[in-house]
Amino acid sequence: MTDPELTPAQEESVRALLRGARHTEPTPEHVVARLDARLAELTAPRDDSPAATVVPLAARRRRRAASLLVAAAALVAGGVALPQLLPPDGFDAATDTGGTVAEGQADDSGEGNSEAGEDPHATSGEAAPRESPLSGGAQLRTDKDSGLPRLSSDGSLERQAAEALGSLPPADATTDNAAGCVVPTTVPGRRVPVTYDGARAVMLVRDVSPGRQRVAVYLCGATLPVDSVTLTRP
Amino acid sequence: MSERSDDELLSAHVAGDADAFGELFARHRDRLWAVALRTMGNPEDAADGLQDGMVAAFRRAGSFRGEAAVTTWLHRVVVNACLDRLRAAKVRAADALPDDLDDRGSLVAAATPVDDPAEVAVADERRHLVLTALASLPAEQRAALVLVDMEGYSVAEVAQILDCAEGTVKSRCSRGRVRLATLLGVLRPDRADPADPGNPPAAEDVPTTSPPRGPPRPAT
Repeated sequence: MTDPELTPAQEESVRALLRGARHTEPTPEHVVARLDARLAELTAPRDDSPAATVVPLAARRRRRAASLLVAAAALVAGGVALPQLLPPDGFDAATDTGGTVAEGQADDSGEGNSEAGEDPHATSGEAAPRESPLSGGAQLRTDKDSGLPRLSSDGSLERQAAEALGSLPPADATTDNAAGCVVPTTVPGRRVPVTYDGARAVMLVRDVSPGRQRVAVYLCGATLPVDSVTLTRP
Repeated sequence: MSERSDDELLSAHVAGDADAFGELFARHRDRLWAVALRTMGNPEDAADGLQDGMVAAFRRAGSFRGEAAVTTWLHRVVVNACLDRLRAAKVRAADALPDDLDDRGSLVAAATPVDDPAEVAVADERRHLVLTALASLPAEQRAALVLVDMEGYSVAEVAQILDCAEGTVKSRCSRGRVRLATLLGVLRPDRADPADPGNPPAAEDVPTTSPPRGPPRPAT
C-alpha cells in the first residue's frame, strides 16, 4: 500500500505544526551540571592502573561451550571418517555414534549461538549500547580492594549496570545498603554500592514503569548523577 | 582575544587543550539538547543521549576529518547516540509520550499573545498533540523531521547528520508528515484548523421505544 500524497497546503500545515512545537528553551541547569561533571571527569588525569579483578561469568561458559563444540566436532569427524576405515561389518555401530554426536553438537551449537548473540556491542563505542540490557552480562568486574561491582566510564553503563544488578544474589535484591556511601539526594530507590572509575559510588535503582528501571550512578557525596540509563526487560 | 572557531576548538582539543572541548560543546549545547529532547521524547532519556553523544564526541574527536561542519558532526554524534539508545531500549514510540511539561509554556508564550489565556491554552494543547503524534513515529522518521522541520536544517545537512542519502531523508520526512497529517487530522477536508480537532459532533438523541411513563403513583 502506498502512502497518500499530501497537497502542498497539507504538507505546509504539518511543517508549521512541527515548527510550532520546536523546543527553544536552554538546556536545563541540572543537565548542564551533569554534563559539566562528566566532562570534568573526562578531562581529569586518569588512573589506569589495573585495580580490578575480572570474574569471568559468561566468558567461562562460552569457553566451556566452545570446548564441548570442538570435542563434538571431532567426534562427528571421527564418526564420518571411521566407517570408511572400518570393515563393512563395523558400519552400523559407527553410524549410531555419529548420530548421537550430531544431536549433542546441535545442542551445543545452539547454546553457543545464544551466548554469542549476547554481546553484539563488544566493539561498539560507549554511546551505542545495543544489546538487551537485562539479558545477562558477559563478565562482571569487581574492585580488587572493596569487592564491589566496578563500573567504568569507558564502557556502556547499560551493560555494566545490568551485569552488576544481575550479579546480586536474590537476598540482596531488596537491600538498600549503600555501605557508608552517602548520596544526598531525595530520589527514591534501591541503592547498590559500586565503584565508578575507581571511586566509591552508588547505583540508585528505581522502577519507572513495568519492565523499565532507571539506574543513576552517584559518586559518594554528590548531588547529581555522573551517569544514568534506563534498563528495559526483554 | 578573538573567539576561536569550532574547527580551532576541536583541533585544540585533539592537541590536548583541556578546555577546548567544553567551550565547543557549550556553544552548541542548547540546540543539541533540543534535538535530543525531541528525538527521545522525554528529558531523562534526552539527558542520557546527550551525555552519550558528548562523551563519544570527546573521545572520537581525532577521527573528525572535516568533511562536514563541526556542528553537523556534533549533531550526528548526538543523534546517533539517541537513536542507539532508542534501539537498545526498544522503546515503543507510542509509549514515549512527551514529558516536557515544565517547558510547555515557553514556545506558546513566544508564539501567541501572553495576555490571551484562551489562545495560550489552545496553543499549548496543539503543541501537546503534535509532540504526542511525533513520538509515535519510528525513530528514524522522527529524527529526520526534528532536524528538518523543527530545527530547520537542510536536507543535505541532515543527510550528513544521519549518514544517509538525501533521498532517504526526503522519504523519511515525507512518510513522517503523512503519518502526522493523519494523526493530527490535517487530511480532513472540512478542517479549518488542522491542529484543533475540537469536540466531536453530538450524537442524536436515542428515541425510546417504550410509551411515555406517567407520573409515579403513590403505593397502595
